[in-house]
Amino acid sequence: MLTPTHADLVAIAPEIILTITAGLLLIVEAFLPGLRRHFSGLAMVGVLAAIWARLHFELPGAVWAGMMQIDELAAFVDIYILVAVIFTIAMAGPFLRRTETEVGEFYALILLATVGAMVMASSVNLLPIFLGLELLSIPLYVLNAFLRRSQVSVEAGLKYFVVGAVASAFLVYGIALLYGATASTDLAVIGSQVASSGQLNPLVAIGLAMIVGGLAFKLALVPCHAWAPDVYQGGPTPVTAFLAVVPKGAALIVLLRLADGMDLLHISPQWVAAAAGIAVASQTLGNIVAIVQSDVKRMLAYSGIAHMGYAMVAVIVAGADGGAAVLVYLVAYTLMNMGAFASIAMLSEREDRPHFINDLRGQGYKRPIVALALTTCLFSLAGVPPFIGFTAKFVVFRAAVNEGFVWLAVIGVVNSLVSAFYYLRVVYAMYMQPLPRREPKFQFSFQIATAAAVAALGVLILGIYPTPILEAAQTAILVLVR
Amino acid sequence: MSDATVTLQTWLATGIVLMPVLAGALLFARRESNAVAGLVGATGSGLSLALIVWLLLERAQGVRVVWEWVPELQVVLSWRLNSGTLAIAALVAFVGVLVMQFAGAYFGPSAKGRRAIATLSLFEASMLGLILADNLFMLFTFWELTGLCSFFLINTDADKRDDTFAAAQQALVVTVGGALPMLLGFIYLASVGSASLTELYALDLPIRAQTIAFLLILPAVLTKSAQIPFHFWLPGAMAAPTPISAYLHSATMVKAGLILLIYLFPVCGGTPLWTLLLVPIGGVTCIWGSYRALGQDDIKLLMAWSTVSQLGLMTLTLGLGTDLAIRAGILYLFAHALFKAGLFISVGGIDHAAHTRLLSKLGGLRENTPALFWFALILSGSMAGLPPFAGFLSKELVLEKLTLAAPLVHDVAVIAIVLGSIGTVAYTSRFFFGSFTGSPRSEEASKAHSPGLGFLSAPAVLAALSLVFGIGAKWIDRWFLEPVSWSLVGRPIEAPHLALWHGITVPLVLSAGIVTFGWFLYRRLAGRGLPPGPEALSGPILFENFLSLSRALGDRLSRALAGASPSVYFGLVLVFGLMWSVPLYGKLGDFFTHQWNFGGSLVLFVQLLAIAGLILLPGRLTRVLLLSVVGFTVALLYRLLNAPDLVLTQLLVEVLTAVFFALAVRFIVTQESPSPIGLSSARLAVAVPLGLAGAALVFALDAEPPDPRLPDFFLEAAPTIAKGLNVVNVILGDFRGLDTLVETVVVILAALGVGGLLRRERSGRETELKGSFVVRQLTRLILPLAIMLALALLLKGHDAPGGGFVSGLSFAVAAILGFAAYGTRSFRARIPVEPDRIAIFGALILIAASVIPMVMGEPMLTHRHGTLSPLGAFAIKWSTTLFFEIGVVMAIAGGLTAAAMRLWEMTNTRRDGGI
Repeated sequence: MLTPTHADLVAIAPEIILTITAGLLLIVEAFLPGLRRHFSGLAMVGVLAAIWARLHFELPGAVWAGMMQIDELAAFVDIYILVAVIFTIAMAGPFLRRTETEVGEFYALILLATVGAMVMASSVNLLPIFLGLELLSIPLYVLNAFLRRSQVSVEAGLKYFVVGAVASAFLVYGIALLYGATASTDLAVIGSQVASSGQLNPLVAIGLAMIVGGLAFKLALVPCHAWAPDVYQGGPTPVTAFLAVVPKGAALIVLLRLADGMDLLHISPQWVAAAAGIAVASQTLGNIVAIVQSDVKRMLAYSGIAHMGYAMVAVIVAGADGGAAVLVYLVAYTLMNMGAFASIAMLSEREDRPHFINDLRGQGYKRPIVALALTTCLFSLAGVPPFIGFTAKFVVFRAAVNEGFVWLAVIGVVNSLVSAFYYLRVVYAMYMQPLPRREPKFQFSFQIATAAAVAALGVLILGIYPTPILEAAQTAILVLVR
Repeated sequence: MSDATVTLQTWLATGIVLMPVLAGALLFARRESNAVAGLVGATGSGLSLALIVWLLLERAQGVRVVWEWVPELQVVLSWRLNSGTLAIAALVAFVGVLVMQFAGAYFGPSAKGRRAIATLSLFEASMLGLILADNLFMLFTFWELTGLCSFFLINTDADKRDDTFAAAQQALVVTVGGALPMLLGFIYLASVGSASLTELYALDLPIRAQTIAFLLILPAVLTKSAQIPFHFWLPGAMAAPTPISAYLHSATMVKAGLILLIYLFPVCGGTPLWTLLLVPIGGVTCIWGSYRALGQDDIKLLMAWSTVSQLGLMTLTLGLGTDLAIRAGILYLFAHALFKAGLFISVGGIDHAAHTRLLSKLGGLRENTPALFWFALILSGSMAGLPPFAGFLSKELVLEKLTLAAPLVHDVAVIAIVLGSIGTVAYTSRFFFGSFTGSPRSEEASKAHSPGLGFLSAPAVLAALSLVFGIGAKWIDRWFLEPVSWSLVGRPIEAPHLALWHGITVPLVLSAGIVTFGWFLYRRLAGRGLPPGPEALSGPILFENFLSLSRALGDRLSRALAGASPSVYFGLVLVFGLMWSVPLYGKLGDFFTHQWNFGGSLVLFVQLLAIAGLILLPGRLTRVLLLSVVGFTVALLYRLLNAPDLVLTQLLVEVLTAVFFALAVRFIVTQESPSPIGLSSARLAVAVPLGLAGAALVFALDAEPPDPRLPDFFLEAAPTIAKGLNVVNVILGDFRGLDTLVETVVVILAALGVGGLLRRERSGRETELKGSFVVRQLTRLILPLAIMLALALLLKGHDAPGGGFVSGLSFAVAAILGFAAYGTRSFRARIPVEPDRIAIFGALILIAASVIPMVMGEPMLTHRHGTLSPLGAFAIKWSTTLFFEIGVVMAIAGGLTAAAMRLWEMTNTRRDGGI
């Protein structure tokens, strides 16, 4: 029998811990529903244990017969995903209690999706990548529809499901084609075959296009972005935060592995043209449409589309610079979005209604901490120094300029400028406009406020002193481009 | 130079930037400093100035590194010290002292004034940082900080006027946004050269690189220094109180662009675009600014437009791109800072004295405010370029260097300068004579009183300096202009000496002509204003247009996107992917040469019919059934390929899918049945090439021989290692037992999840649905058979088609049949344990099966095999795999049955009636 070795099991200890925690939560939910109050704590313990395991055990490199690569890159991505999950859980507790939907399944599904994302990001073989993607997606279909009494939530779940299923189909089809072309599902083998042939033959090209198409759905890149606004708007806010960050991170890593492995930048001008087209279209469309949104969550959805457009620029550049830029961008994107969504999770009255920017009028002085956290994150999203969003864009554009893509960088900065309009509008509403006559009743939650404040602090501190993140990203990416 | 000196100078230079920061922090922190805010601010600037003078006296030279901030990104906090940078810093700090003092008097003891002066101090610090920074990225950071501070400064009067926010936002977006491409330019310079200005000076970049860098940096210069078409933010920014305008729009903010041009001249001044772009832009700005200044009634706006005009003049001068021109530009930069700061402060004084700034209401102020009259006279003379003031000298030098320029450039530049300057003389006269001479045109003006010392000291000092600057031309040249311009350009400049009198030269004649024509223009207009001119040039229209265009586009797009069906996006991706398959179309020829199997073709034909039905027929259930037909044909294909295990699984999965589908469809609220999908030409246009591409792909893949390694390995290993003849089952149960284990756990979790999710929805009437009599009788017959079949599949699975998974599916199908016929309540009564419990027990068995071998010291999931012959006659093969398989059966059967039962109960409690 092909048994897993001890190293194999240790290597995925964090995943195992999360899975066990998820199972435990389901069983406790089924048999001891009285303990619900402690579920978020239990989930949190599981996540912390997973982080501990990732930091504690040595990184073995290739495991599971070479299908997974548990190295510095995997550790970086795992920890960034797990931190995002901590934020999600932190804002989920009070949120679920408020909407009276706190049950064990919620946390279990979040944890399982997390495992999926981690598997996806640390796999170097298309099959486990696909498995990871499915494990990530299926819980999210359910989670988006978690507020079953809210029509928009159910609609969000359904939309995400339909789109996600099609995206998976694309991905599987692409994998099959790549396998057909190269007789392997191992990224290293595929990569070296393609790179050494010096061009994309039609089979590889179609396969790649299908895979990129499938991943583009997860990343909400144009033209596969249409689901994002509705799903962001309808889903429960903690789920939206998770959805905005974790699947995108995992998908970007896979894209990066593909681009790097096949050396697409150098062998395929068509890839560069197509990817640059996607990047530019995503940035432009995301930013321009965001300007007219009146719902904060929809606005953030479009902003997310634009941000993935920026990240795509780094993917195109690939290599050590581009790869590190992708990682830094992910960290920045995560912190900013977590802060923003945590703030919005608190600054909302009813989940099934739109989160109007107008409802935030005058909140700057009414709820100073959360408003300041939101402001920080929005400034950072706009790419204003000294916040981490600026550092991230700086790193991406630097990579692009160094590789000769000045024009892509110019389009990027012009887009950043456009984006300032809609981010500033929220700040304007919070600080420059008076409270509306009928004051919205926002329930204060210490836990959510703390989550928002911590994210905002991270945005600021890592913006001013980004060296730790930059160094970690560089070390991590060396594994890939070595 | 000793280390100690270097360290000292590093600290001194850092101190220059820190002093205003400290002053600002002090003011922000202490409420009670309202009364002395101006003093605190001025002290901060004064200390900075002192440190600058100290460093100047030390003749500090070179780069002083403070902190390697982000070495990965080449961001280093370091100061570039030489007489040039220090002189510009001195100008900023010096005007800072005067403006802060003036601001103290202007605001009086108020919290607003304290905050404004504090912000002004921070702004000053950013400006000083911008001037002294050696690292391009630090320069960028300081640059953006000045923009950010200006946003708050322009917004100072937000409590009194409602136009400040729009103005502040405009200034912010234009100047901060314009700087973003500059960042790319800096990144580019860092990648082809260095991120340090000093190091860049030592390099000689290729022209191409210079051009790219220049083009990227240009927007920043044009926006910050208010050049057409980005000039509109500057008049708008007049919404700010006078002290702020006096500082931002004379010596600092608007000069940043010009300072950057001077700094970058040695780096990318070699590109021909330098002259080709800067001269026309500067020229147009110069003329247009003058024209608009002539038409203003508000003297503060007049000053703002005059600033625009003079910034244009300086841009043009620097754009000429000769050493001499740079020298002239530097001189004008200083002269302008002095007289314009003085004039803005004088405007503040007039406003304070007469309570109005409108020329139509002013007049005759000389009587009541004699001191202000004299100061304004000198400052205006300087602005108009009259001897013997600083403005005259610099204008002479600007005209002088024109003779050195290329012919065409020369003509353009001369025309622009002459026209702009004629306007300058005219509007300066308008301002001066309109305010101070004649008779008062309103009651306020006639009752004007002389402003206090706080309003007069700054204009006095600045007027005096303008005078000294002009009269002391020789010394200024020797002790100031020469060292400053040499160190800024990086090499000695051969240039004619400054003097008030050179004899009768071309520049002098031009100057005389300008003054004469200007005077005539002023007399002709005689106090009348001018039309504002075409909208496109006149205001924030560009900005507004950009905004509203973006908004309209966004609106359009979002509406278009909301209406688009997902199939559009999917289609796009498919088309995109399959574009690549065009080269494969040749493979379609294989259609005719392929060896077609009759049975297979028949099955495929049936499948095609079903798919056509799916597209063309209405109704939900019809489609569910047709989908099953497609599934069954796939099972038949497996049969033709001799894969009985796949056939079994496919069939059972199809049955279950159909059941679940049928149950779920009932939740769809609308009663009307959906119309057929249909075939539109757009769909066909995508579908037909896609289908062909798919076929081509299949043929292409078919041509590749399959990789025999895996089948060979399993066919050989299954009987020997795992003692089983059914390879599929052996793989599932043994070789890849862990996969099965985990997958089964997933099924259990999913079933639990479904159970949990649906359980809470149960409510309403409990009308239980049962099958009809016939169904019940039939079930009575079928059910035992089904169970026996399932058991057989389990037991024989190791060698013959079957296995745990398939067996579990069969049990599930049997169970569904059972509760469908008898109703769930009586079904529950007849089975000993709840299905979800069965699933959990199955999971426990699985865990035991995997853990027990580990306890016994073997790898997880190791199996034992053997043959048992109890009576010597039978030979019963046994294998511990069976134990494992039983777990799988229980888990799958339990999980699926539990989920199906929940669904069933839900459908039947919500509404009456069955399927």
